[in-house]
Amino acid sequence: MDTVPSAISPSDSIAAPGDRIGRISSHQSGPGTYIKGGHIYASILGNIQILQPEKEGDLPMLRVSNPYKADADHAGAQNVVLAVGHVVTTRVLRITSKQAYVEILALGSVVLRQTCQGIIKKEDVSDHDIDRIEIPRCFRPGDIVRARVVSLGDSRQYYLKTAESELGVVYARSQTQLEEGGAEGGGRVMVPVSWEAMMDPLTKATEPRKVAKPSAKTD
Amino acid sequence: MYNCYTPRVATKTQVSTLQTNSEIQAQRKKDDTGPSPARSESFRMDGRAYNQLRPVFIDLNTVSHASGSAYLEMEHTKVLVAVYGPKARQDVEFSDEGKLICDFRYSPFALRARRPTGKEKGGREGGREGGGGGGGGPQRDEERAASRTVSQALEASVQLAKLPKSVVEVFVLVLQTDGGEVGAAISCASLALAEAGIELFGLVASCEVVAFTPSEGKREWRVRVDPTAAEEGGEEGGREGGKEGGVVGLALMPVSGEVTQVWQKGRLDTRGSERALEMAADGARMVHALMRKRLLTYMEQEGGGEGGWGGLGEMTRDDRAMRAQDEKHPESVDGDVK
Repeated sequence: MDTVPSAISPSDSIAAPGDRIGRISSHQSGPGTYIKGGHIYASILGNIQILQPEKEGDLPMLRVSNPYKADADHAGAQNVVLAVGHVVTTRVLRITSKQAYVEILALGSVVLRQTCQGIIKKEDVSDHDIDRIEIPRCFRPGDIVRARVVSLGDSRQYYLKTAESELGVVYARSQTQLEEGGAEGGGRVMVPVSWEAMMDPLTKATEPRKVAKPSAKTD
Repeated sequence: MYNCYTPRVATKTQVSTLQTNSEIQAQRKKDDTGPSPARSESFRMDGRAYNQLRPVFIDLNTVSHASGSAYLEMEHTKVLVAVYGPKARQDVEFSDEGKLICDFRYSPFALRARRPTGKEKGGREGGREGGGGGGGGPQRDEERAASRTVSQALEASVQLAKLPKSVVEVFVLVLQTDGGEVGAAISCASLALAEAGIELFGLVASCEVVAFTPSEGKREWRVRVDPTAAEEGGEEGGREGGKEGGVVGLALMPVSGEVTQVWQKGRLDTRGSERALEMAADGARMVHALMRKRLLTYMEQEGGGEGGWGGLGEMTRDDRAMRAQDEKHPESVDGDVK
């Protein structure tokens, strides 16, 4: 098997794609690397980092990362590939009685350069009271919803779920039109009051939504 | 103009040897009769030895709006590649692997020497064949064929399994060609993919070699690495009135030793083919070394430039430098780092 030329230059901590950087007997393969024939190779151009293991007895992890190219860890508009389990930020486009059609805007802090489509089915909205869920009482067009990718779906859309307490509507405007003619969304920004309702702070009118549990840390 | 230096390569055990410019000069001085007598190949029109590559110039992130881009120049052959993606794929039902699409175009002013219009060599005139030739109109046959050649050459190097439902688009624009543009396109596209941060198994480098036999009966094949357009085609110049010959191109991914693409134009028998392919493989390895070095230098000196942010908010050079400093840990890595 042909090997890469012997000098890593100019600095030992930079790798080009295909550079051999370690052995699986002494390191784990982290993001930006791949394994072949017992060795760890770099997948991208970037800095080689060694991360100490979290658990006792685990091997340190070798990782290649490029701070200038956004990935799931660095902010910036980029083309990131979504995977099952990712928590994404979406905007509701339209709803039917069976599902909500959303547009996926961002993955964590990475804004997608090109938005994708997603679907949240009635069964995936909440983990309790499934039979009594009605989509119009959970989501409305214009709401911003945090959801998790369930499956890569088909060519048109990803399948998402909000059946966790931290998932659901994070931002919504109320139905009531503002006096001044208002922005596109119409009403006022609502505040959450329970897992199933949000309230207009001025009129005190509540509207049903599947609300995400607010968390202290920003995502 | 070049910014990549042909590195020294251990030549003793290899059938075909590729030398640095300085070695050739030294040899010429020592030995007035010219090149190595064992080969008795005369020097080429541009003064290179039979096994000498043209000087290479590589620029990265040339098209700052693209996900990744590269520009590669081998003297008068100039190729620009922009990569977009990975992005969502609209055309098919679910696919668990990504797809690589290549669009190869000649610019309207990229004319090659051996166009049947009979214009002279160099490709500097403003004439075009067919209205809207490169870039605008539908692809010509050779552009389609080259697109396939390039995409097949690169496919093996991209970790497509990590890109479900996605497509990566590679746009090649040949600004000017003096032979070897398909090989240059492959190497350049591999650099662009690396610059884009798309996960690869390794880099793919390519090299072309012309092989010809000076007289029909003898079957003594002569090879020249990295031929110019004049050397590629025709009975005049490089071929020395040879009756038969062809150009062989080879794309190699040295990390795994895989040959990812081979193409040939013209006629060669097995011996000629063999010699040409071996030399092309050596040449590809040298190009790979240059590409790799250039990427490492780029990463160290310039980092990502402005291209990685998609215009959504620029970091200043100081911010980027600070972040790069934070990221880089100077721990020594296991002895396998070579």
